[in-house]
Amino acid sequence: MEQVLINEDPLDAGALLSEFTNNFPAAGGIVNFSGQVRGENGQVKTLFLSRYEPLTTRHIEDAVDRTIRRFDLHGVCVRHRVGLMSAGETIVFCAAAAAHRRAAFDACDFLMDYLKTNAIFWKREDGLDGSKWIEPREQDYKDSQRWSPL
Amino acid sequence: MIEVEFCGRLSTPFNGVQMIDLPEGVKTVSDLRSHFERKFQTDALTHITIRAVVNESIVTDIHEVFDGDRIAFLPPVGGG
Repeated sequence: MEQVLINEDPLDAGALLSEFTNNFPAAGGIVNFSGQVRGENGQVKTLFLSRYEPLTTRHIEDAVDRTIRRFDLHGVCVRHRVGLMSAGETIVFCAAAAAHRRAAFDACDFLMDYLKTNAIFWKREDGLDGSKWIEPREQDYKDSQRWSPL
Repeated sequence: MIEVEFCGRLSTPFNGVQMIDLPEGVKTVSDLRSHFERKFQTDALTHITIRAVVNESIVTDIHEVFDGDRIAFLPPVGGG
């Protein structure tokens, strides 16, 4: 199971969690997060996500390596979808396995903050009022600033 | 030939990915920005937040460009 995979394939969070869990039988805690495309009460019909390879995957792999060292993890899995998605579809899956629960919780939180503000993606919402490119919210930046540099 | 990719919101005004001959007189990233702005009648590339990548490295505007380079212009990321 690759640590990082980014492509246009639909994500099955349940199946990914099952596979990830089976890979780390010695872990005491496994935490996962899956994010879905928000429909914004029908205002958003589709979300288009683009990237720039090879930088996007390489930078996420670097972030995963930092996360494993920082939280002393058994393992991490990041799956991110790109391309065109509909509201309600899974866009990201992240899982962390650690000896104890706190490290696993924190690792997922840390990685998602990275993905939301620093990962090399661009998002375009297509809705009833046309299309617009969107950037991280102020809250996303505040969340990301909670983590001290190593 | 050089490959120039315009990412995110830049993809629409600059037509995504282009394979072109290195334009005459273009020696640096800064020259290339000016070339495309003249060609597409926009100042969308000169904003300080638009980063340039040459052959997988983020570079400054004085970085020289050569035939065969793979170049990209990246607007601020939107996050995942």
